[in-house]
Amino acid sequence: MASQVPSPDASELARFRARFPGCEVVVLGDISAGTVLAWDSAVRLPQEELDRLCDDAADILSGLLSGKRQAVDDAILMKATGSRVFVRSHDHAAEVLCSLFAPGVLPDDVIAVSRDVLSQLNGGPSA
Amino acid sequence: MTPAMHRNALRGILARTAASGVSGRPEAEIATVVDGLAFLLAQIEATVLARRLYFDLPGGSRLECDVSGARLQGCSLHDGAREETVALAESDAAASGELASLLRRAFAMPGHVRMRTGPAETDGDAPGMAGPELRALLKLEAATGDGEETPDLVSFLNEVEPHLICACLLDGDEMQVVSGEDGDLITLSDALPPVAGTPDCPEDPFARLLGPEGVLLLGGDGADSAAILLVVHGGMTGAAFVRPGAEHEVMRLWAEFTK
Repeated sequence: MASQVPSPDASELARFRARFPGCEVVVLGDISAGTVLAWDSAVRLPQEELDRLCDDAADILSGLLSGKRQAVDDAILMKATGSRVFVRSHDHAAEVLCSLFAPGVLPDDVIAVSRDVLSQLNGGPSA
Repeated sequence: MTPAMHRNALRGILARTAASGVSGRPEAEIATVVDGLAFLLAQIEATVLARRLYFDLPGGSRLECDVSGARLQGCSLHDGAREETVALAESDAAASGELASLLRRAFAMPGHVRMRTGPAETDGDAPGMAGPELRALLKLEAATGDGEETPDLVSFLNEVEPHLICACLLDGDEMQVVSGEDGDLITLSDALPPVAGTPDCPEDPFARLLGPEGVLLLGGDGADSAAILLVVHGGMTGAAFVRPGAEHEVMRLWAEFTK
């Protein structure tokens, strides 16, 4: 397993991946700054790929794709090659959790658990 | 050669190669196989995330593909029987017969081939990301093939209609109603992506993210709990409002539909 320098954030992300074995990558990002804050993955990924996940999250959650609609709180992008899940923190609107799942693996509770992780990272109660 | 021609050529060659082996295969066909594989790899984001693909073949052999830049840059084979590694390059005509043999083995036995992905800096023995099996490649190829084999988007929207408030098909900025009340459709049209090619939206972010086949479910924003479904399939684009609570069922049906 690869992750950035151990930190409380990275530990939470590792626990997230442990809960969902089909999760290949999970990234905590700040979409206002376009910054990857922490990540956990099965392999060491190039920084540009992590940045791209963060950029996609910004495009989708900021409402760029949804025309006149205001920003959304969560989104699932699903293709034959896998699914990406983007969830915005309720505590800090710029903070998002992005996770990438293999094809055919999309847990029902992934959005709720993602939101719990974001809450915990901001000092909220454990789920 | 267009992508569609790549796909069709690849499909035919794979079928023939699997049935008859590779002896006497013309170099032009082998080159088309390589081009076709490169095209398929370019469609797969999992391979873009990584820099290498590892195909674990029966008998302990391993095919390793360098897919840097979402292109097939080269391949190498570790032959389990001969205990040696053969380096193969996309443009290396002398090695193309060997590569065709690898591809035949890989594609003819999808049930026994496992595809893993990994970054460039790892060697073949490093732990790789558990990825989709090679069958996913073939399914993707089939799903993006000609229209006769591809169920159209209308049938998908009809299938999930009980879970939708309204649904429509899109042709650029033209909306064709599939089902729903006028008021819902007007609201939906307000929520749709901006039309590509306008000063505000010179590129099409919708197409960039979804690619040729994909679905995007946008969740609520707190004030409005209804989810918007944006979908591209078989060259068509559709959009819908999903009934609250039915989001996951719609995604499940999409996964079934694109299997």
